[in-house]
Amino acid sequence: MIDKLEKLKKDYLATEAPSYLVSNGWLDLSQKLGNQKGISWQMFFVRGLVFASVVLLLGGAVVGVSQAAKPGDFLFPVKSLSEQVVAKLTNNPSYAIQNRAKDLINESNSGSNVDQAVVEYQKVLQQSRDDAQKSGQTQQFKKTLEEQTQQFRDAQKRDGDRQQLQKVIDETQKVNGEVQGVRDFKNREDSHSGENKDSQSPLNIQHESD
Amino acid sequence: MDLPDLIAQSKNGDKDAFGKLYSLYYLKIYRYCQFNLRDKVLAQDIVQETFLRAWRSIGKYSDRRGGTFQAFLFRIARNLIIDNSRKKKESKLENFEHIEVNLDFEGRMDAEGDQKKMRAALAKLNELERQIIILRYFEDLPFEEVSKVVKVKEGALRVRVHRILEKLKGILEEQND
Repeated sequence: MIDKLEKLKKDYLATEAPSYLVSNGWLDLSQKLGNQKGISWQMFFVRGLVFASVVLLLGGAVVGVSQAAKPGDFLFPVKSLSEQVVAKLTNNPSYAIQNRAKDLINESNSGSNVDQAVVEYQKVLQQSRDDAQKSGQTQQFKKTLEEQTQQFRDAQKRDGDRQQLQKVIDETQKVNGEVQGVRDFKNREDSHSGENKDSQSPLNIQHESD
Repeated sequence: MDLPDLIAQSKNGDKDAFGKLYSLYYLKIYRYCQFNLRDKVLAQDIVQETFLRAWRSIGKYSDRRGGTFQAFLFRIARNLIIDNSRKKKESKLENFEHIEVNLDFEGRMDAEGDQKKMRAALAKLNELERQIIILRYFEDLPFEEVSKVVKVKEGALRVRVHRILEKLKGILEEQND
């Protein structure tokens, strides 16, 4: 069989290209070839765009699903991070802490995973306090903390986890006491950077609430 | 400049390097198309289209993934031949089969013409089987490269070649009866 194929192979290999292809094939083709680099960049751009769209869609879906997450859930860090981003973008330092307080009250009412909810609340409390001071929205933030303290007390009355809620109330009040006005905070920052040498600067002493 | 350099330069948009690749392979691609299509003008057009597509997609070519450069070209050419057959229901490929079979059927074929008998036998194979024989036995491509062109795993391809040869033998015996 192979020897019979060999005979046909000779015929096959004897095929000659037409004179057009020999003399003008490359000339004609070279005129049709575009700029390879240009094509590569186009391909790169299109692929980048498709990739970015897929990432955005997937990211959006994950963030959307994470909004239903509770403290301790796998997607809860995503929810927390997305809230911090929203807080920064909207310049609303109270946004994240309001959501953590809601989570805490819900968990306390249902009696599940309160410890984790407290931990998450404490984390965001410190961060929100610093953000409020940096953005000069201490009054609004203090008001939010006062409202939350009241909500925690109400939750305590409704068979909530009394001990854990009391711990959170104490912490919230402590932070509320620490929050300073814009001027005081700036003074503190100046003092830390060594620009303000005045030893009489009101660091941590003078609170807006005083 | 050796082949990997020519490919690398072509990937960077060097038309002269691609021109050298064209010079190296256009005849191989032409005779492959001509044997399949039995139409010089169409084969010529498909050769040009093969290289045009190769130029456009050379950025995606990788010898690790797609086999050798000639396997890359044969794959493009084969796809174009198949596309051509699909577009034109009365494709040259089918005509080739019918013409050869009819010649044999009508008894007009030279009894001593082994080549014609073999052509007729090849025409009775299906498209994939025919491409495997052409690439393996006429173009002397190693199994690894043929597998890249026809997208059949190398192990399965070896078994398939054995069966195709048996089938060809059977067809030739039928012709002699």
